[in-house]
Amino acid sequence: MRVCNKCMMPETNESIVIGDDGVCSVCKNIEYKHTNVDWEERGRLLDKELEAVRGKYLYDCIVPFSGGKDSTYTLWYLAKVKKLKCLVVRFDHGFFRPTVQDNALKAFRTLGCDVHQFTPNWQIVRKLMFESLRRRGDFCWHCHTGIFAYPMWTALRFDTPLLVWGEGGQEYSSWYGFDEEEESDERRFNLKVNLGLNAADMLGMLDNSVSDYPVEDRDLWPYTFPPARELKRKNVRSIFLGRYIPWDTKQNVVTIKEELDWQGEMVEGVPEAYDYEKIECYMQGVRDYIRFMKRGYGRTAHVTSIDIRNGRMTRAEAEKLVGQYDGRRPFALDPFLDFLNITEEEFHDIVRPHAVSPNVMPECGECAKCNTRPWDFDQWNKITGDREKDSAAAK
Amino acid sequence: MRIGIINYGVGNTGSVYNAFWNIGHDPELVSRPEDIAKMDRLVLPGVGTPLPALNSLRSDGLLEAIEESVFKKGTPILGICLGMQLMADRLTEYGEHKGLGWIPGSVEPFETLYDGAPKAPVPHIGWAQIKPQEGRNSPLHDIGGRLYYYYAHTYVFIPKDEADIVATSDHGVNFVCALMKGPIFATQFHPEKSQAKGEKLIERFIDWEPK
Repeated sequence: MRVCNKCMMPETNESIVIGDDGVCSVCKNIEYKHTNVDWEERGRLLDKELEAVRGKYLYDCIVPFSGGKDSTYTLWYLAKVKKLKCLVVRFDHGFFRPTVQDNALKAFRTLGCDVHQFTPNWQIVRKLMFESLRRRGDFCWHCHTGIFAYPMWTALRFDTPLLVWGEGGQEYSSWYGFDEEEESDERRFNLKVNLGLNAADMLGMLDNSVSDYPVEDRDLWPYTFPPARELKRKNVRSIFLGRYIPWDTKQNVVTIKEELDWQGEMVEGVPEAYDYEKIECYMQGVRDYIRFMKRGYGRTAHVTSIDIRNGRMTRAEAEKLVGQYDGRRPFALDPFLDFLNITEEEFHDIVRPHAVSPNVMPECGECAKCNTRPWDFDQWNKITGDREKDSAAAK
Repeated sequence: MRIGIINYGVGNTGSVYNAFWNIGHDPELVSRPEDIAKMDRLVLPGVGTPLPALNSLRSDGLLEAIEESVFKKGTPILGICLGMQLMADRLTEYGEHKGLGWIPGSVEPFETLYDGAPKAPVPHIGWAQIKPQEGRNSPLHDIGGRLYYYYAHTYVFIPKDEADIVATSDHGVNFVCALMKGPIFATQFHPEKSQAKGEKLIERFIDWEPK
């Protein structure tokens, strides 16, 4: 398997291209960000976008919000630095962790903002998780699509045409370069968000193997992108702050810790120093574990790569951490299997066909080293929605 | 803003209609001279060969109404593919035809540009990057990013006057892919089939105030 000779990204990373010089497209794009982007000009463009909406609608803008570092920084930046009235829109994927909920409340109360949360039907979420795992080896379809589509509907319903997202994903993948326009529009939704499956596809595929809840097409609206025509008519724009200001994750985390008392949290499969990365979902460990099985790398490879690109770590240090942390069995796997009513062996059988060549999925047992038990494991909400199962667990 | 898509029996009006509709407008299919006069923007689509297209335009006072709008009132018009080619003085597909003569030039087989040595397959079908002419200003300019548009053509517009060219593209050889003259803007490619950049161009055309 080819690995970038600057960072830790292998060729199995979706959208990445490793050039003849051995350097990956993410490294090149970040190099471009550091050297070729006129950030002062981009800052002026941002002000133009913001001034076009300030005071003109029900809210100045919508901030889609998970409570992780990026959305918290985005909300702080817009509310505090740019003094906008923001509507926070939160799509509840089902797995928020206690620390994230505390952090979110601190941010909302300190900054002052209305908060609109949507929690989708759990029985449908379970079915979607299973189907998306089976079809794509990625159980997060409901979260990817819900997070990016639901806030677009709120833009229409709350008469607020500007949505501002965080970084844009440039440190993680190469779908868009810094020299291209990127908006969270239908094109991007179909390109990188929905795994090539739209809600109608899903409806046709769902069966009753996880739950017998009857799903109708109208149930899947939160996972669909609103019609392009409606969005255009209301002039809805959905932009990434990371395209307008030079995004520096570590510095942003320092800012939100100081300004909002945002607290870090341990994440399964990641060194403790990275207590800011993906702390919003307790299923993250399972997601990264599956990625390791499919693509041969985990989240430690990702976060150390970001540090390498920003001159904060050597490759040798990164290699050591990756060897220590990536690919361990997460504690979250047990509740995950419970939610989907499958055994660990079935789980492996489902994931195996999704391995991305040239990576070969390790056999069950090869990666049996376990993560450290997350301190809040007992506080995770593990209600499956199956009465018998939940009663037995309660005893 | 009333947008009229000229429905003269040979065009791909459906996809053009949908492209305008999807970005929030309510275009109208127009074929009667009195309706054409009411439009603030006109679109001349076109698929097929010149003769039936020209004959259709030249019947029932349609052409006179379009020319009245474009040249007397200055109503911006967008020509697409054959819609652009019809604007030439002369067309050579299935015989020699007198074009509308709005933009000086002739329409020749694409191979003419190859000078005897084929350099890419004809018909030219698919996506190609376009290059706006430097120092010009047109609905195509300043869209930003890499401009890829979708093509399906066998013939090519060879304009007489370089000043009318606003963009070129490459298919083995350089060729003219967009023209502008007064209130006329025309493209060899299909903005209505060119996804995000096509939508942008249509938006720019609608907002365009020709000088």
